[in-house]
Amino acid sequence: MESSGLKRLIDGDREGWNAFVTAYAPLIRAMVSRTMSAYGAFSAPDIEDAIQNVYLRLLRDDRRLLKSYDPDRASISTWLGLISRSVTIDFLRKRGKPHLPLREELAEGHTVEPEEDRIDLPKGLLSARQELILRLLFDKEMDPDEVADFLGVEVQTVRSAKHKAIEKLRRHYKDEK
Amino acid sequence: MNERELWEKYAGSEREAGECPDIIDLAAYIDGTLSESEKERVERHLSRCPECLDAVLAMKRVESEPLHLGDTAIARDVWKRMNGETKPGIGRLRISVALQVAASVLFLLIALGGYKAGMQTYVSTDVAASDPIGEEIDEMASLFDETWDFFDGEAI
Repeated sequence: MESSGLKRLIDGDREGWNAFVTAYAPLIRAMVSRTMSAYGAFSAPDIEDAIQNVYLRLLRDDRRLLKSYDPDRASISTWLGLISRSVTIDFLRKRGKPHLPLREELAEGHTVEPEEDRIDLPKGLLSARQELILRLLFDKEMDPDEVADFLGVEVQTVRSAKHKAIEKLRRHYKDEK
Repeated sequence: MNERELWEKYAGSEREAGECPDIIDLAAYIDGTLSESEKERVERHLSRCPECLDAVLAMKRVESEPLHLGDTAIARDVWKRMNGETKPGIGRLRISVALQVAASVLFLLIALGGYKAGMQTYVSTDVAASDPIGEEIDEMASLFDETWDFFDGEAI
């Protein structure tokens, strides 16, 4: 969105709002639908209500949320997509939907070990990047190409980071015994 | 232990996710505008916070999909309401409720129409000329028109 258009939008110009929603209504609908679907709540009227909530959130309190957007940090489409998801989750929580998506609940029960089996890990055993790569590969079941795309790196970098991370874990748990 | 078991042992250990980043920080991470240290902080959080990681994954997937046309009527109606352009006394009405009411009125009209059609099969033209059911249907049709205008133009 051009800065002049953004200024008109923030200033409360009606045409600025119309241009904004013409450009971004498809994105908002796509994100709301995806989020509701992930939380097992997919009905057309609920989607319409959640979309309405997104627009209300953007405009309420004299457009406070819109005014908080910083175009120097991120594109408005990315920011708006995340806002749409966040508002939809709030909407579902108020409607008494589960806190986590079903698949997360299943994963939680599967991966978390009992409290007594937990151990303190040395800080920095895995780097942030290594930890995220293992999370995406094992918990999200993404393949190395998808992880590379997610991180914006070469697939070889993902494979190498995974290999090093696994070696670190293997050494750590071997030494521990 | 195989690779997955190693990961699960590690993932099951005590690790602080810390406070969730602001939405603008997550957006900046997705758009690649963070510094290296900021990126590392966000990645550390993402590896430990399922909600934030799901948010980033969802955004990346939406970005990669073709988008269909969006309906701007909801946004225009919200604008009118937030800027005092709706009639006084008409409050916010949830769309799902509005649709349920409209569907109920429509169902009633169809039921009455069917009833009238059935009656006309048996009654004489003299009786049908003063048909009270027909008057009921006219009234319901009028109510339906008003309800339709109400939802379409003002209340949603």
